[in-house]
Amino acid sequence: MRNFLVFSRSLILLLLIGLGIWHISAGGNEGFGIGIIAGASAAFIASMLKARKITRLQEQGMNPYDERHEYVNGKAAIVTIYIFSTVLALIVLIGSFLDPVPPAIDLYDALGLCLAGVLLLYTICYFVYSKRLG
Amino acid sequence: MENRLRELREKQGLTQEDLAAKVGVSRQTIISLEKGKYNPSILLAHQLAGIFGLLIEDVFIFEEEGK
Repeated sequence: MRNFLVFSRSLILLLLIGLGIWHISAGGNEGFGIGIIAGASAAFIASMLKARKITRLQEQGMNPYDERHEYVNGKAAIVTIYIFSTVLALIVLIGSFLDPVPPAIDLYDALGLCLAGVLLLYTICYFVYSKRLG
Repeated sequence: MENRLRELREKQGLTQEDLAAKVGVSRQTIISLEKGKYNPSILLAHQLAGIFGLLIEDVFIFEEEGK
């Protein structure tokens, strides 16, 4: 299982690095290409370090993804959905009153921001609930 | 819910890590349980009670609301 994880993550890393290099060499946005390579490399290193820690704990008989994790995960997910949908609803409602003609925005930028917002919110909620449980 | 987890664990000379490994959970779960901030599933409560050779109600003290 661990070998499969390392293999699949290495493959994704190589694909993303290849995509970044191809993007730069094809005359695309240099910052975007470098960002893909740097981001993929950082994510790969972080995931490998985390996988090593989890393997070490599992070898000792412990399970980091036990029922407490599921409990915190569930709480964090529900609060994230609640906050995110409330914020989006407020933006739509207030925005419709103040500026009925929607501004022209890049769809990919908007979706990227939403995704980053959800992930950040979830991470904060997970941390808060995990701390509360001691 | 209150419990006697810490007392029983220390009586057996177990560390939090030892107990976590015996029931297959993380050390954080044992910490949360000992602080009484997390209520375990019936399965985990059963496993923990089994480690100490006791019944669930001897380890976890259930208090009915309003009493």
